[in-house]
Amino acid sequence: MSRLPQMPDEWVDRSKTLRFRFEGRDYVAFSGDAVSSALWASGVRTLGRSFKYHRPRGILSMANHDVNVMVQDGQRHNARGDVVQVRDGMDLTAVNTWGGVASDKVRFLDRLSPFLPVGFYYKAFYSKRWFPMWERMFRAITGLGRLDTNTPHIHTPKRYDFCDVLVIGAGPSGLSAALAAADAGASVALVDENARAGGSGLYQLGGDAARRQATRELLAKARQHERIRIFEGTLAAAWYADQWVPLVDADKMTKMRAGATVMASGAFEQPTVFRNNDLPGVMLGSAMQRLIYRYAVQPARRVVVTTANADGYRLALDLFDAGVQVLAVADLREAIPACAAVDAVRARGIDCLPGTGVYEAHADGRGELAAVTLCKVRDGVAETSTARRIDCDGVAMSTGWAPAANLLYQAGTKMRFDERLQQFVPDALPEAVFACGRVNGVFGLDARIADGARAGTAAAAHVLGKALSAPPVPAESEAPSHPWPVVAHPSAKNFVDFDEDLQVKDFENAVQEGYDNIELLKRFTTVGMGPSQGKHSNMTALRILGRLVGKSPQQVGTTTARPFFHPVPMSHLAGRGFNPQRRSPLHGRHAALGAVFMPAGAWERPEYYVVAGKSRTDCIHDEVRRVRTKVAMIDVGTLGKIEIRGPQAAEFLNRVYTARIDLLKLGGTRYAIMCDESGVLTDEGVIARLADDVYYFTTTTSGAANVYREMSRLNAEWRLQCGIINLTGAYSSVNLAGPDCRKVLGPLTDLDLSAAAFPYLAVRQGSIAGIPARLMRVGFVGEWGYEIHVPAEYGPTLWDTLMKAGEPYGIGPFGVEAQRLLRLEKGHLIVSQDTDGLTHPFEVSMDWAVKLDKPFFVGQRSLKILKQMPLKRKLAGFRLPAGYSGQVPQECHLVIVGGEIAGRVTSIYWSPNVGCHIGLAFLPPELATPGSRFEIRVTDGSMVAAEVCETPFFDPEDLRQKEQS
Amino acid sequence: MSTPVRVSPLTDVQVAHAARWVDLEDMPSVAAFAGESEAHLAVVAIGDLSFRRRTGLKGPGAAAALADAGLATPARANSWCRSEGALVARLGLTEYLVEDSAGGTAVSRVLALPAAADVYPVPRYDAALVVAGPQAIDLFRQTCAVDMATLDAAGGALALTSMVGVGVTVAAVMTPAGVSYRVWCDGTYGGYLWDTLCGVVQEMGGGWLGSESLSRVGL
Repeated sequence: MSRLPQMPDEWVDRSKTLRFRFEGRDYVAFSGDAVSSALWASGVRTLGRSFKYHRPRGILSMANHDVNVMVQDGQRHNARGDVVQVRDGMDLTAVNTWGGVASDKVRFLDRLSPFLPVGFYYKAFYSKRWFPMWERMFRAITGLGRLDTNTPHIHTPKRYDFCDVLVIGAGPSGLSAALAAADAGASVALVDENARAGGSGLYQLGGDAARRQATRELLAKARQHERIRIFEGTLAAAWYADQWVPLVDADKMTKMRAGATVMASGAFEQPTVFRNNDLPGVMLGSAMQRLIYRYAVQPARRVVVTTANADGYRLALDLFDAGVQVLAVADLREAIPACAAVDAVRARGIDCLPGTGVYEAHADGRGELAAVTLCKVRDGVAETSTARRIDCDGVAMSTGWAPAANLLYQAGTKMRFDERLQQFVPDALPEAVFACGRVNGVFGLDARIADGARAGTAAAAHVLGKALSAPPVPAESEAPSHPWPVVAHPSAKNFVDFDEDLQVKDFENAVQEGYDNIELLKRFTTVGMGPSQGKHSNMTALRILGRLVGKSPQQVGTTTARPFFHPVPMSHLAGRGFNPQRRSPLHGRHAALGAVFMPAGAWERPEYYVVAGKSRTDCIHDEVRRVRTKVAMIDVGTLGKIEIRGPQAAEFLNRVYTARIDLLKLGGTRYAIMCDESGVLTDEGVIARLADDVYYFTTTTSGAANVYREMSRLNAEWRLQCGIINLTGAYSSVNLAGPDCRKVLGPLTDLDLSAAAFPYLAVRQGSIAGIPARLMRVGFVGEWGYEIHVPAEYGPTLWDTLMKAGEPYGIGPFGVEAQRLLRLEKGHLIVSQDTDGLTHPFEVSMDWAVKLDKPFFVGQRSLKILKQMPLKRKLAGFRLPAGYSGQVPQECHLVIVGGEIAGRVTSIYWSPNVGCHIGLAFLPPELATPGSRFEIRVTDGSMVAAEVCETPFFDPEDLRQKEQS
Repeated sequence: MSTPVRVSPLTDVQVAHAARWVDLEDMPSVAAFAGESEAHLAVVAIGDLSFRRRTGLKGPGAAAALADAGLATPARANSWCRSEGALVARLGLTEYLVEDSAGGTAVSRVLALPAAADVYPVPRYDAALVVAGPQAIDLFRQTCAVDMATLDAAGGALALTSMVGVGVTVAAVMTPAGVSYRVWCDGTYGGYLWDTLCGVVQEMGGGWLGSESLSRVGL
């Protein structure tokens, strides 16, 4: 093989020479060369090994599905040699070899093929006894490429794009469609997976320069058109609803949203099936044409063409023009239809053999093509008496095509099998989806250009709402595909699927074993499940199945084409990571104070504040001590904060919460819970009545968005006269708590903070240091305290003011962990920590919060039923013995009674104020009485004794909420 | 008692990059960032306009209430208009955002409206950004699934959508610097949005501008 003289549209830049290594040897390439083209030009024909039998393989398609030529490129694995361009300094090795391509140690598997029948995997795993051995063996032998776990995180941009008409495929029909749509006024995006646009119009020439010129003119017009953007080297990898198509290029994935899509994706040329059709040197005719015209590489010196259509004759002419000796054109058809290409081939003295096919290819000592045996072939059966051996180093297969219809299937196109064309073609296209060219069953060059204009015009008309028309498309004169491109051979090795080394007999055996449906056949044989996803095998497999079961291809049907239809790098799928983080207006203050942040839904909250030289536990206990003995402040701005206004605001809340909200007095607050329709406790918070028709309430941090969304839905459904305003982000909130909190707050506010004027569970509106504020006297942490809500933009100023005013009293911040301990001492539960997705209020002793006598509230019906039923579990307080020093139970450790699971711990802390470990646990109701003893199984399996006790654990009389006389 | 200080939701993420601060509408704002260049406007630049006062109303009587405050409202949903120097955006059917220009009184007039049964005040303390430059659309195309190129600045179109995972309102506006885009989001997401956009803008060769530069170019 050698480089040809410069081709008019070649992709290589001969002025730039690159050096690279393959399998430990040095090679040179031109810039623009694919790995395979560079190696082929250097005379290397065995480029990889097959997946199952480790047979030598070379070029098949040069069209992005040569899966036997995949290489390891540093940390990148499974780079496809037929399309990946050579870079200077590349050091490549073939994947799936043991010791290299040339001397693969497991090539003996080819001789063991009779013992590796179809469905081998499934059969191997039948036996439970042998399962581990097979698993170890398969894991050791299989797998493509070497994963380097040190591969750095590759950052790829995320990108969206938009157009009126997206044309997929920039061959003659796609170019024509893009121009027609753009001329009609549509903005057009034209994408092609190849490095350069033009498609087959620039490499299937049949020795006719006019064909090339027609495509060049289309391409030049498209490049100059102001409404056409051309994306080369870009794969349209899938089709999703509403014309959403991911476009994958070397650097990123673009999410393209189009008004209409034109599929001009062409067709995949299909291999002819004959014995040893996989030897290096046997390739698709279109692969030879790509080598010639794109890379200026002579594909072989002496070639036999096997064909069944006019494309094969054009191929022979292209080979002839490239200086290749075309030894024969073997045509599977009984009679060769007359056409200009056939006449031209004959005029060059090339032997044209009707009713003839390749019976067998023969290998030389290296396993590469050395000769073929041609026979007369009738309906796939060779007449061996007519055998004729021809020495050659190339066989070009050109017996048919399969439409690249993956995206059409994904779009929901109804396809039908056209017997005349021997191809599936669109029968009913979805709205705003159009097809043209080979994928539409149109093969002649002029017809493809006309078909593109028709589809592009129709797409533009759809998007722009115009009435447009296009000239008719000429009909096809011949079938481009042979109905049975298969030649039987008693010694098999006539491959249908090159990914999985599947031979014709594998399909026969699978059907014999009962896998006679296309989906079952696919799974049992794995046809189409390899890296090429059936691009070169599905159509033949379908024909074989049809013949075996006596059905037409239409009756057999096709397998499901799922997105993505072609491999996409994981880095592209991930794209730039967008992980929204929500930060309280006080975040910077916390950071400055040494906060250790913890995630709380989308928020980052201070877990505790680091004090130099102290442990985490000591820091938390210091914060707890400050709350109990002095004054401290916690940021509670992450709580959901919602306001509801209107004459029917009370009615709305009455329906949502289980309590009687309408009875809440002006200036008062109430702890309330809400349930779902099944009576499960879903959220809790404090509701404040600010005016007759204005309520302000909090929700849990994690529940805020769901509560607002559900309330908005209910409001739309109930149509009450009220409006709901989500103030979660608009208000900043702190809880100022501790015996000295009034000393800090008093001088800053115009409010009377006396117990008489501002009692426990009251709400007041006033100002603090000039900042408008809403204050609620709450006792979540069990100390005199105020939850202060101010406009978010004043949050930091309020924080600074209170911290400054509190300095004389030893004020400090406290974090979430200290708050959790403080509330546990008071026996307060946290929804979603001390409850789960099945907890109803009666299980957590919240009967008092449920007013079943109300006319209606969400979950009422279920709760009435649950009220009549015996409890299955109950949340109870417990303590470990004072001085306990063993392994401490943790949240979710199980309560074991009589060897069975009887409950679980939901919260547990060591309490400095109680002097022992305290906690909450779900227990069987009979155990949930003070004084009962039970056991908790800890991580190492040992049991820890605990005793049920009354809650609150601390200040049970709530004396800390009362003013000292 | 002195007027309390307003704090921008972006202060925490801007403080390390700020070269000079200035008080705008009682809010310390970055007058200039270290190393900033108005040349970024030739690519793409973002700025912080959170200092502008704003408020919102929603409910069946919201439009009439705004009229009582002397403000015109857009005729179409998801659009905006200028009224009395303020930007009035109609978010959906019956919700409005009012943003004052410097020294404006529109917001204070709205806040002074008497309570009404069918009008619900919506406090707004958004992170408010401006995106400008010829590659502004490219920035959106890396961060948002809506085609902002279709927003008609002259027609007052706006979009309520998601950008880098954050709910945003985007309006195209005509400025002396050309078409630019206003972006509003919940202030608690502001730091994340600013940081993320700055990262993308920097990759694109653009940058961020302080209030002095924004003012000079009429943004």
